[in-house]
Amino acid sequence: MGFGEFDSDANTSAASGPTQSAKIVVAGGFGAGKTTLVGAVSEIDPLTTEAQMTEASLSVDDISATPDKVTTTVAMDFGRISLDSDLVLYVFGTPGQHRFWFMWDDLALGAIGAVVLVDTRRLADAFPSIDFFENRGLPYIVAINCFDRLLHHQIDDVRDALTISDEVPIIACDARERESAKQVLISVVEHAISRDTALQPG
Amino acid sequence: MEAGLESTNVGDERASEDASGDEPRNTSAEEDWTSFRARVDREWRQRRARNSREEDASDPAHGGPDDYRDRLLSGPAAELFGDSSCDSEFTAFPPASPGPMSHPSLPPVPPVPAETSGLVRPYFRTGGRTRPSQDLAVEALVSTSERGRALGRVRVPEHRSICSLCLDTRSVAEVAAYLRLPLGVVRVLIGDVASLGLVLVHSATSVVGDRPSIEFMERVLSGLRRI
Repeated sequence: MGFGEFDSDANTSAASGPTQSAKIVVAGGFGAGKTTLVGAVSEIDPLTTEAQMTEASLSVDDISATPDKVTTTVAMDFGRISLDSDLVLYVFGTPGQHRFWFMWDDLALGAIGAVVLVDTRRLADAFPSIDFFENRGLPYIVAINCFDRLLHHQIDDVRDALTISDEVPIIACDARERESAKQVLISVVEHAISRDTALQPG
Repeated sequence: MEAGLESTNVGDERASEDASGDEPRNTSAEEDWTSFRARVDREWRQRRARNSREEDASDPAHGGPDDYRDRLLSGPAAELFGDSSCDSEFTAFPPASPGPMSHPSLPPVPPVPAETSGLVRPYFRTGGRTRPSQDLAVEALVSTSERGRALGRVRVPEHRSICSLCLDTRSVAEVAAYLRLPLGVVRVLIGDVASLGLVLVHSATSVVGDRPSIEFMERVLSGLRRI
């Protein structure tokens, strides 16, 4: 296992603690339960950070409706899970709309994979996220959030409606339940491993 | 609000490294950091508990932009950049103009994204630079070096805040959240403190191409199964 680069001062540091971090992205439409899922698995109260859209991204973001607006601020929630003495997993929940894509590249880079959290009452909200992860080649799974523990639609119907291939796992979850949310993360990592293994030459 | 005052120090700092004019500010930093943080966290939790009781009616899972804003402006580090009661004699502005961060219990303010920076636009803190000196992933881990542990000798307030926070190893995103500064600003600042040797940046993951290695993902998987 390769360890990352350390600052040249590393050997003078007495700091002990995690030295490696992993990242999983949770995307989905507004109100799909991203923050709930992040909170269910996180060992800390989910934190919020914000990014500001800079001029560089204005060209790709449609601001014609708000021409006077100079910057846009996007908040994202994230949680932290210590997996080992030297290993931490961060789970980032991010808004799924096209207009926030300036942030997604940043999040997708180096991520193990992504979860597209879906509310079956608003399936179309999931399209931008799915498009993005497909284009980026980031392994993702679809998790149907069953708020009332009832799966209102057959998983196959959801697959058809979202027009995603059979390789992409679709699972049902209750984002409020820690075990369920944990299972979602496990599914992402499993899917990422099997996909990357299949992509390896030989 | 002291944001204006503190930020001007960034410029002063480079011009006069040994100026001691702002020395009294360090008293709050020399207060034992853990007890300071414990106090801030405690106060914040109380405020937040009070808040959430009022907001029980609304589903927390569906918090809107106002919810985000409320949490952005009421984090435990609200006091790190001013608004602290302990050194009010240095307040540059009359208390008649309370910052938005001092009243998380106020009714939600309509979102005005361009104004979230308060008195000073965020990139003022970075001297206008928007690119960090090194690429930092949001999940990259930062820990304070031996040199950075001498907090009293770290003059730039933003640098000192980062060194204090990273006594426990934290990610770039956590630093941004606790300091309540935009990610881009924090990246530049962390790049600065790293190049001064005050913090160590641990690269995020073991990577093959632009993908984490399979061995690394296996470790994450077994870790997830254990918890």
